[in-house]
Amino acid sequence: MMKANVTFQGGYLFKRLRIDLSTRQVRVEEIDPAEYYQFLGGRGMGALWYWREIAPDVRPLGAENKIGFFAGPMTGAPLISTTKFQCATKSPETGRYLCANSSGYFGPYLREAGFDALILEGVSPSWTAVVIENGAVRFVDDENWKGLKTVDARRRLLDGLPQGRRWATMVVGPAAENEVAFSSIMVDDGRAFGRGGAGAVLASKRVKALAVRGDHKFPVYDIEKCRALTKNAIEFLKTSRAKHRMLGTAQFIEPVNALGAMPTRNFQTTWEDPETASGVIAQTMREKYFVRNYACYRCSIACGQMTEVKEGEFAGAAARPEYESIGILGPSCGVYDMAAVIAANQACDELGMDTITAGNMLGLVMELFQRGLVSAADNDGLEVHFGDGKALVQMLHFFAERRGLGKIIGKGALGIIAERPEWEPYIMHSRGLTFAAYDPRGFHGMGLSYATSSRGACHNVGGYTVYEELLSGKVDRFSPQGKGAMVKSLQDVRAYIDSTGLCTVARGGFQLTNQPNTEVLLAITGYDFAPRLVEIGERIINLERMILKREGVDRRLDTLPPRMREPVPNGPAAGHAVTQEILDAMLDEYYQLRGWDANGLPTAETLKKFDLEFTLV
Amino acid sequence: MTQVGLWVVGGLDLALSGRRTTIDFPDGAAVGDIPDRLLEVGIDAHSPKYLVVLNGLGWRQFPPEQKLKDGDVLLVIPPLMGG
Repeated sequence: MMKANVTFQGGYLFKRLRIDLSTRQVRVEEIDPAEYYQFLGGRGMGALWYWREIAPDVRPLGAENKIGFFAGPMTGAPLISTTKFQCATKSPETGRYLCANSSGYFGPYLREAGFDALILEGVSPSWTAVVIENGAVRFVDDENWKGLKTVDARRRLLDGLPQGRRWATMVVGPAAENEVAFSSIMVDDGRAFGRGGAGAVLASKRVKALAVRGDHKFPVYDIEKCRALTKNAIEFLKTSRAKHRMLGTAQFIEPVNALGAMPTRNFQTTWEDPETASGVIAQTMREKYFVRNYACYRCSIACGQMTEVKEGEFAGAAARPEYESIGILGPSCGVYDMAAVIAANQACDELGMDTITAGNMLGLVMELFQRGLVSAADNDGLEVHFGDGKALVQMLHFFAERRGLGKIIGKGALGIIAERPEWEPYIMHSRGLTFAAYDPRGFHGMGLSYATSSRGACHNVGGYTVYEELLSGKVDRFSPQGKGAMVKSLQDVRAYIDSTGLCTVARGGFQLTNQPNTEVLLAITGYDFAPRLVEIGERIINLERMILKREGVDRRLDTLPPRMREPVPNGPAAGHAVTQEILDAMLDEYYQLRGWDANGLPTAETLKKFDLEFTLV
Repeated sequence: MTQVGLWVVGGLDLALSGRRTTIDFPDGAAVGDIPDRLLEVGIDAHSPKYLVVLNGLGWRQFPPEQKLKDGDVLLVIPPLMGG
C-alpha cells in the first residue's frame, strides 16, 4: 500500500469495531490512514477489506463469511444528506462480491459511537440483537427474535433499549431467516441494503437486529467552510431537486414508459399504453396515496414519499415506493394498481426482501404460469398471473416462507437456473443479480452497465446511463458507439460517490461530478481529495474487478440474458435488441478504456497505475 | 406549416404538463428551431430541469439543419435518475 504524505485533520476516526459473534469477543482496530488516501472510505474501504478477508471459497451463508459496514468521510458530517454507508459481504444471490449502500441513520450514528467501520464475523450461539453504544457492545439474546417481521422486530428492539438519545437500527425479516437469497437488511424505518441478499448473511449469523448510538463528535477540519458549503448546496438543491420532494423518484415511471424502456410482463415488452400505465405514475401516487415526505439523516430534499392505501382490498397498506420498486413490482408484473404496488412494497419491507429481485421473481413466476410451465398444483394452490395484484402480494409471502414455488424461487436466479435450467430464458439477470427497471433494449448503455457492474445487473453500481444517453447528443441510445466511455465514467464517479458517505441525489449540490471541483472534502478532512476523486473511483473499480477475477469472472460472465437479443415487439423501442455483436462492441470499447485485456481483466500495467500490484497473487 | 406532436410527461410544472398536443412550426423549420419554438410555449429546452426528446432520441443528436416534418414528436421529460 502506497503511503500517503498526508495528515488528515478531520473526517476520519480511524477505528474499526470487530465483533466475533461466536465468542462475543469485541475488538477495536486501528485503520491505516494510507488506506483512506487510496480508497477514500465507504465502498472503497469495503472492497479493500473484502479482498483481504473473504477468500474465494467462502460460502455466502457459511460461518466463515463475514459482513462489514463502512462509513465515508462525509457520513454523519455536518453538511446535508450525509446519510450513506456501505455494506460488503459475499452475496448469497450471486455467490460473489457484494457491495451495497443504504441511507438512514445507522452510518452516521456508527460514527457518533466512535467507529468508521463495523465487522461482524462468526455465528452467534443464539438469536440475538447487537447493541452498540459508544464503545460498549452488548447482546440481547432471545430465541423469540426469530419469525418477527422487520417492523415488529424493530419496535421490540427499541422498546427494550434505554430512552433518550435516538437509536439507529438494522433489522432482518423472516425471508432472511429462511435463507431467501435476495433478503434485505432494513435500516431504521424504511431504508435498506436491498440488493444481493445481505439480510440472509446477517441471519446466518443469528443476528436479527443491531442498534447503535453515541455522542462522539468526530473532528471536522473547517466547520465554517462546511456551513458555507451547506448553505450553497441547500439553495442549489431547492431548485434542482424540487421535483424529488414533490414526486420522488416515481416521477420517472411515466417518461421511461414513454421512451419504451419500461419492463412490462417480465421484459417480454417494454411499454404499456399510457392510459393504463397512468395507474402507477407519480401523479397518481401523489393524488391518491401520498401522506407525507420522508427525509433521511440531515437531508433537505426529503425525496421519500410516504404513501398509504385508505380503502379497497389493500386498505391499510403503507410504504414508500421508489421508481425501481414501482417499475418491477408494477408494470413488470402487469400490475397498474398503485394500491397493489404499495402493498407489495410493504410486504417486501416487512418480510425483508429486495423489492427489485422480488419483483423480477414475481415476473418469472407469472411468465411460468403464462406459458403453462407451472400450475397451481406446484404452488400450494395459488395461481399467479400477470396483472393480479392480490396474488402479487400473496406470492411475496410464499417467497419469504419458502412455500410452493417459493421453495425454489428463494434460491435466487443462479440457484433456480442450477435446478431448473429450462427456466433461464425467463430470468433477466447478469451474474445472478436481476435487472433494475430499465430494459437495455431501450437504452443500450444500460446493457453494458448491467453486464459489467461489480455486483451483477445494477443501475447504480453499473452506471446510470439513461440520462446521458438522451442529454449529450453525442450518443444514440440504440447504438453501441460511445457507451464504453460513458459507462466507464459513470462507474468511476459512482464508485467515489459511494465512498464519500453522501447521497447521490445531493451530490450536485457539492459539485461532485465527473470533473469534481469541490472544497467539501477539504473542509471535512483537511486534505484536498478533489483532483484525485475520479482516480480513486477507478482504483476501486479495478480492485473490485480483481476480486471478481479471483471469484471466476471474466468476459464470459459479462453477459445479458438471451431475451435481450430478441427485438422489442412493440412500443417506442420496437425492433431494437442488444445483440451479442452490439454487446461485444460495447465491451471492447469499455475494456480498452479501462486498461483491461480482451478477456476483461486488468493488465499488470493498469494495476501498477492504481497501486494495486498487491492483487497480483 | 409543419405540425409536430408535443407530449409533456413526468409531472413537470408546465402549462402543457400531462397533455398531448400539437405545435406548428413554419414550413422549412429545422431541428435548430426547436428551442425557440418551445420557449414560446413555456419550455426552455436548454434548462437542466427538462430533457427534450425528438422521435425517441435526444434532440441534440440530430443535425440542427435537419428539417422537421409532419408527425415528428417532441417529448419533454424531467432529467432522469435512478431510484
